[in-house]
Amino acid sequence: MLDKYFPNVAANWQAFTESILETIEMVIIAGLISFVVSLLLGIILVVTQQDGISPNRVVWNIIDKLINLFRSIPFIILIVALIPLTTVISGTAIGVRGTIFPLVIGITPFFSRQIESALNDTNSGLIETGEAIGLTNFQIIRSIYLHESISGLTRMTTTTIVSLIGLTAIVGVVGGGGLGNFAIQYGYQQNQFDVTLACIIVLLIIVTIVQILGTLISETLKH
Amino acid sequence: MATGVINFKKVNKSFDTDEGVNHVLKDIDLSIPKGKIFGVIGYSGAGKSTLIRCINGLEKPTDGTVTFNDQIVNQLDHKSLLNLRGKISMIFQQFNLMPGRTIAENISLPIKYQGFSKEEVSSKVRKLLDLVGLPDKYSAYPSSLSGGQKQRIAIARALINDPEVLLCDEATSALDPETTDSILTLLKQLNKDYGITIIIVTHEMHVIESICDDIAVLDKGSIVEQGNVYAVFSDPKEELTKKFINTTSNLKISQELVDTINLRPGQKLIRLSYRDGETVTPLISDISRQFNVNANIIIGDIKLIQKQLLGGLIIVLDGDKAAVDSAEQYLQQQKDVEVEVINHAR
Repeated sequence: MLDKYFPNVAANWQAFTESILETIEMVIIAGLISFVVSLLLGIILVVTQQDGISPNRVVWNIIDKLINLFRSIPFIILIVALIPLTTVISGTAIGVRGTIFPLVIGITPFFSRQIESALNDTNSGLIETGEAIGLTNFQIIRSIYLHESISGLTRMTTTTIVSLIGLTAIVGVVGGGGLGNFAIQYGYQQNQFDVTLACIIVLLIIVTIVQILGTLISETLKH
Repeated sequence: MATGVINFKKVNKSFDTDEGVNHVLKDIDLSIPKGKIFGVIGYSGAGKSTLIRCINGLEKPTDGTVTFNDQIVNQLDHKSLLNLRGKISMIFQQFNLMPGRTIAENISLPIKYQGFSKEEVSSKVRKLLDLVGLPDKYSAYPSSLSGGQKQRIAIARALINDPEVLLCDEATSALDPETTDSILTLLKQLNKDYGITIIIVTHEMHVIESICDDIAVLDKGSIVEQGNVYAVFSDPKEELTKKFINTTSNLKISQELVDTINLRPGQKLIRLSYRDGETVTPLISDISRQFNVNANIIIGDIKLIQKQLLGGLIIVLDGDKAAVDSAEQYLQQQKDVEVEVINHAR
């Protein structure tokens, strides 16, 4: 069947499966790094905002403006602009290794905003209660902000992973690895439409699985 | 004056807003006696919530001092403030239980980081659950509880640090009247059994008259009247205080109701308000016997406040015109009773 409907995919089967694995690899590595950074930024934004538990106008403004700045740059331009820095940090600007850094820079502003929004959904009465029962700011972040928004954080993370999968395809255009690269190389440059179609199907499956898993986890975490 | 467990001295609080400076509290002087139930009543926006939050440092006065025992609350560093909040607990209108935690986890949240063993925590929680009458809710989640039950759990959480003071911010305002009474009974019991000083801010006069010993009336950021609840209720000085008292009194009858009472010639509709709760003179029998008039009681509203009677009657005096007049005069002469002729037949 594969030979009949997807002849060019079958001909490059090994490269195809490798590109799937590369996409998954990029999503996981960039996603994990970005999660840690974004969680930190999201927490700092919520804590230092005007009615936060430790308002700090300067810190809030710097992070807020930086996020806005990076969000306003289209990803494809960002990748190109980052190439010198990427070479210094990753040693190369191509392949999976060369894409992690721009992916993290590309997704973190979005991810931070998502986390900020999930944390801000915590009822302000609960935060005030945390203060009233004598918890420290760190304990409030841990036991109230994070604990009570875990379901929201899962939902936002799911949305972000889906966006990140989209970004991994874009880095393919400028020499990254993964399904994007595969689709450009064979589907676009060699005009093999079945390759493009196969890439779409695989991406669709990955996104669906991520979405279903995310929704499922988020629902179980609700009380 | 400054002899209470909590004292406010010349406390002002203002917020800078886009429309200018909003003066929320103005020169508040207040002394809250240890072991009492102290009520603060006022309309929404009067500054009640800000006032109560100055006590545990959730709000900082712009100037003036709030003291707890001998500590000046608004000058404490953050760490001492956190310690203070172990001694001054708080419950809220919206209960503020953590939806993602079980009842046991909610109750023990204040001592989560204090290094107690699991067994100690669990036994504390169970004791408190018994105290608030919900022993079977240990592993339940807040979403499965009714409003009254949630407030009981919030009270249990507030008690886990063995506080000296319990702040109640409109704690019964989201509850129906019956549940309100059961929560008030529980608060009264805590006050009696453990000597916890309770401070209640509310807009419900019913709460004040049910359990408070002392009252302060807050209007636009200023305390306009304060004192012992019975004294204030029986002889309110300020318009606002009277308004609040009338919300729980049946004696303030509307013109509409007055019109429905058809007075025959010679009859008078009279309101009698008792001022001194200790003397209960048989006024009605007195006048009927002495002046040969009939006194028909239309409305009676007498309640027990701090074990003293407060309230009055609305009566129709009926009889010979001269007799009715002298009966009225006799009533006017009683110094424990305030007499007001609401309507008389033409």
